[in-house]
Amino acid sequence: MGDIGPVDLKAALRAQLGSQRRKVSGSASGRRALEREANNPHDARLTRGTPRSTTVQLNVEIPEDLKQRLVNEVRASGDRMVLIVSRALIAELEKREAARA
Amino acid sequence: MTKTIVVAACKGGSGKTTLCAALAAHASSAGQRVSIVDADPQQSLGLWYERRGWPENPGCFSAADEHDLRGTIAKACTEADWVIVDLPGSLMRTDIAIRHADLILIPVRASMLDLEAVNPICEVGDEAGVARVFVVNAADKDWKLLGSAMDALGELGTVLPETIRYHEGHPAAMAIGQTAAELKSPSSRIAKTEITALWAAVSKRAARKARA
Repeated sequence: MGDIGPVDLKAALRAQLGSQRRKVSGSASGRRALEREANNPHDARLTRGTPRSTTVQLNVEIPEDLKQRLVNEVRASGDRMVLIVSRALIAELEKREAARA
Repeated sequence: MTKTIVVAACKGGSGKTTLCAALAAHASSAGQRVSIVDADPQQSLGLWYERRGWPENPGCFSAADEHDLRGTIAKACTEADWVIVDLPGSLMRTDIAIRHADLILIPVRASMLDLEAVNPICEVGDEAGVARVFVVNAADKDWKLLGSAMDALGELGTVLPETIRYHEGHPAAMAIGQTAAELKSPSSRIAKTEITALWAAVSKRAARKARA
């Protein structure tokens, strides 16, 4: 026999029945939601680091034709898509910020 | 007709992979045709199978892709009397595998952390109408926690009396593609006795599709 005292696991489980955390992680639907959230790459978390910079993934929906133009430009120029999108974003944001200044 | 046993737990470290290997090796040594399906992205069971020397029995199928799992189980069923499915410590893929199961074997350690993780599997199993049983794994018969854990699990379903004790032979054997019962050590007899008893209990229940 070990030297620990008696532990009532059933009572310990019951004691936390009201816990919201327990309700979520202890149910199939809650658990699925937690796992989906943990596995979802489209939540702007830090996804990649390079020696020069770190990037986050941004989930945005754009019209199909705009995406196709972007792809065509990537193919024609040989530039990386992230570079083209970043430049466009920077230009638009600078314009907006200047207008507010 | 092929019977499928799904070994599932929503938590890592409960002993799913080790039990899958032990049960598959035991059943195949008893003359049964066995397929194991490794549905865990970690592929530990598949790697054990490679260390074992790629035997025909138990054969091994990998379903690293979630969308492929249903087809993989179906394929495994065509080549075996028994299919034993190893899952990741999450609900991911577990839902799919459970729909193809004749029995869900839920390994649980005698710990609070394991006990509080069993509910989602029970819920999914009950929704699918598949029988489920708990086996207390890696426990010492002298532990006070063992009785307490069995008592707590008893409220949630059927707890097999065949518990599996912690035995260094289990992790040691996994490193060389064997199982604890196959090791040539005096203490491996205990592991062999326990796995033999567990297989008898589990196969009997799967064969009759008992409702827990």
